[in-house]
Amino acid sequence: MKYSKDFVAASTTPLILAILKQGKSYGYAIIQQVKELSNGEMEWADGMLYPILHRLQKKEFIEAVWGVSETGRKRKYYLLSVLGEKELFQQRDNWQQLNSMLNQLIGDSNE
Amino acid sequence: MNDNNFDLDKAVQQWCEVVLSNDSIKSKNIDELKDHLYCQIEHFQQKGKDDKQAFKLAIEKMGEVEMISGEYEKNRSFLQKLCAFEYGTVADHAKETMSIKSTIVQQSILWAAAIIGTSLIIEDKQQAMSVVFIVLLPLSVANIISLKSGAFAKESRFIKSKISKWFR
Repeated sequence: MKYSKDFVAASTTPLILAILKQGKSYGYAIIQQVKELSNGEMEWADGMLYPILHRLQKKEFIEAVWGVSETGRKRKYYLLSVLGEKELFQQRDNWQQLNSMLNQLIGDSNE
Repeated sequence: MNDNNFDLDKAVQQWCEVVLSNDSIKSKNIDELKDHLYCQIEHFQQKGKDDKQAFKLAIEKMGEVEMISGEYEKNRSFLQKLCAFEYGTVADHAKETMSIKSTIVQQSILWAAAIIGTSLIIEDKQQAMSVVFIVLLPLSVANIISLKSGAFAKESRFIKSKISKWFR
């Protein structure tokens, strides 16, 4: 499947928030999780994720804490905030609405 | 199998320095990128690559420094961009024509005048306007003229390209 730039841009926020809904995580793990969830079809460029995380942090959807990795390296972990959870559900509802509209128009089969 | 001449930590450090030389990426962000790079290196090492190959593949995956900084650039506020622009022009100019010291002195005078001028306006002094027009305005004009070579040309080129875009 091919994803357009606009689609990737629009889908990063709900995906990041949903991943953090399951518990704190860090950049590399988030990218890996997205790759696994999409069966390897959605692969984010490594460099693009961090500025997005910082933007979400600025909007107070997520919080950052410094921790230590298993190997003793300094690592920045991100957590979902209450505001972020609200945003996540809002975005999910929007996508579901869009999905239902498209289904009504062209059905959900691939014919 | 390992290349003995290759120092992985040193290579990572050098990569960090290149990234930091781009002023959109602040030093407080580098530890995070460094951790990411090491994660990626470990991933390739587990797949059987040696240090050198793993490092090479990891920085390729990381993307071009310009691409990363372009994303970071979007996060900057207008004021930060303006400060970087101002600092950039002063620093460029200092390198070209005069010592950094004289640039600093010149900038300090200008800023001191600006501070005095604004404080007088705030206090509602009668001579506030004359101070602004007699001291501040000539100083700022002198400052801009002194910066006009090189840096100023770059500025005006930038502004001209913006303007021509509006009128197209």
